[in-house]
Amino acid sequence: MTAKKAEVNLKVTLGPLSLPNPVMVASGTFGYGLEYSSLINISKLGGIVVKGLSIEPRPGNPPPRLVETHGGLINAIGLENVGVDNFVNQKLPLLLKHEVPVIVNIFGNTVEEYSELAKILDGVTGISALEINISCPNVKSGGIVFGTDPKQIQKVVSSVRENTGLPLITKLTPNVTDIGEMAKAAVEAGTDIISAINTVSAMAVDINSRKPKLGNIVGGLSGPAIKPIALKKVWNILNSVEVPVIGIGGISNHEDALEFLLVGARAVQIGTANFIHPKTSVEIIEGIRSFLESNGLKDVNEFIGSLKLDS
Amino acid sequence: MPIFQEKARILKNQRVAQGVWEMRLQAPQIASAAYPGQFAMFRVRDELSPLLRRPFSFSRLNTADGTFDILYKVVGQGTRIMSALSAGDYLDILGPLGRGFRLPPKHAREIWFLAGGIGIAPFFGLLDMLRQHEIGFNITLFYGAATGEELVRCEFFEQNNCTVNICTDDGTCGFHGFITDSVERTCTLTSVPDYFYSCGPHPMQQRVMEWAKCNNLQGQMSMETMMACGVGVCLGCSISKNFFAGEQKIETGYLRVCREGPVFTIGDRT
Ligand SMILES: Cc1cc2nc3c(=O)[nH]c(=O)nc-3n(C[C@H](O)[C@H](O)[C@H](O)COP(=O)(O)OP(=O)(O)OC[C@H]3O[C@@H](n4cnc5c(N)ncnc54)[C@H](O)[C@@H]3O)c2cc1C
Ligand SMILES: Cc1cc2nc3c(=O)[nH]c(=O)nc-3n(C[C@H](O)[C@H](O)[C@H](O)COP(=O)(O)O)c2cc1C
Ligand code: FES
Repeated sequence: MTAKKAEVNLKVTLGPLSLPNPVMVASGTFGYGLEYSSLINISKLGGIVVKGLSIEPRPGNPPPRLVETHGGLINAIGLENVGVDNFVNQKLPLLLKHEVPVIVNIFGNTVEEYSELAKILDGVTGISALEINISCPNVKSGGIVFGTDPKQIQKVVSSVRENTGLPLITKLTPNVTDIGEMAKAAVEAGTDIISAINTVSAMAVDINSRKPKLGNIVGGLSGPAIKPIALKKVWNILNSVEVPVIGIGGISNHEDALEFLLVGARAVQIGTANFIHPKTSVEIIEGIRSFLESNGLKDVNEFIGSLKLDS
Repeated sequence: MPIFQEKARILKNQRVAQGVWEMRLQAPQIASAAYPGQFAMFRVRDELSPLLRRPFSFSRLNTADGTFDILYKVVGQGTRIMSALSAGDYLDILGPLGRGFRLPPKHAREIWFLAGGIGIAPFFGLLDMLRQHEIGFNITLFYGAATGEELVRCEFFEQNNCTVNICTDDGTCGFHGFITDSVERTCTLTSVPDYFYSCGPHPMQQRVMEWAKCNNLQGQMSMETMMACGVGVCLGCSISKNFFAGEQKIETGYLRVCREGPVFTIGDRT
């Protein structure tokens, strides 16, 4: 049985980024990597994407920050984080003791902040890739979210590209009319990989208190409820650009993960499901392995993008 | 501190007051690592509805036989599902989580417990902890509920030499009014406590905080906020640092109820 297991190849290559398997954990749902280490062997993961980092620490939004909905979770955390220096000096060294690819998620409110972050992280050893979160407002352009405007995307991505040789993932927001356009802009600006989706913008109110349920009034929806939306967005991106795509959104078990691989995503990230069952990601890896075995496949890459379109 | 995920066997699950249930679970790893005031995240069923785990404080810890109890109020889908479970069923539990109660400072003898509604839950374990200590604390419990029918196991506190002050919103039992009214009255009429512990709904805790600031009191408060992960990664359970700040202080930033709490120290650090 074990000998047979070893035969299945789960390694995937996303341009300049090679991963031991296609299952990563998503930014903001796994802290700085070690919080779950007493529950799961994090070295088994395909990669850990850490909580989004800005140059300075951020306090985040006023509470309440969470609302549960049918099959979903709306969050308005406000990108609270320890700041890039604290991460590099205190969190990263501990994480690097485990053999697992570390992907650093970054965000800013100006193009300059993104390029500064890229500059700082470029010199740090042990980082496998940067993931650029462009789902935040540009304070210099009246608060327009970078990721909703192809020109802004180009500016951000190229400013990061100019400042780092690390593999670059651009994480797209689904809150746009044509995500393919956004993907093209990111690719033209030099991104190696696209990841999608970030949360779907959402709102919840209380009819008794007549107040919004979130301190920030609006937030972003994640969890099983967004999976079909995410799958369609990933499909759109794959039809618009040639670079590898990482699928994110509502993945809770190996079947969900395989759906994204089937349409052509080269890897996936698990977010909200970590909260419900911290072992989800490692169980998905095993689930993919068994699925491939029982379907007589020796390599996950044979399954990726094998969606049959004609009847 | 290690966190465990256990398939816990339900040993009993019974109604103990109007809308309130008590569950005993066999979860040796969690029970032996836990302290009073800590909590665990319960997955109420295997399906993804409700989606998130539900947090519950330990009400009593029985380390010797690897079990613990919770007291819970049925308020929505998750707790309704729990109340329908029977002995022999299993629940997936993550714990122990957060920072529990600490002992009072050395000088403290007069201790007040302030419990609002289901906020009584962690006081059973806290009383066990304080009664194991060599100091014979004088403990006064202020316990408020909407109505007399909702009061849970007051006799436990009486049997363990506590002075018990009951308050009900509708006057069906004890003092007619909020627990914080009763606390404020007693505090001005007689002596002030050396130390207090409180747990209850947010509006009550706000008033307790004001009372503690006004009277310059020290104590510990167990807080509740919405939680997604319970382990410190989602940053969703935050409470403003300002909530706990002294009279003049204005503090920015937030604390995670699931990690820095749920029990927070008020007044001078001890
Ligand atoms: C650290 C901690 C310890 C707790 N200990 C206990 C306990 O010992 N006994 C007990 O009965 N309850 C306790 N609670 C509250 C308990 O978690 C909620 O009542 C429960 O999650 C409600 O689930 P539900 O699906 O039945 O209700 P839902 O349908 O989810 O919600 C019903 C109502 O409960 C409120 N609620 C939901 N989640 C929470 C939450 N995390 N905190 C506060 N209110 C919430 C909602 O705002 C809503 O008004 C604790 C909460 C925390 C954060
Ligand atoms: C509590 C929470 C915090 C998040 N924080 C970040 C973040 O800091 N940066 C980021 O790019 N995405 C963040 N996300 C988005 C997730 O990484 C992911 O894209 C999204 O939740 C969809 O996946 P899911 O349905 O599997 O959760 C966050 C999501 C949640 C629920
Ligand atoms: S509940 Fe997630 S950080 Fe506290």
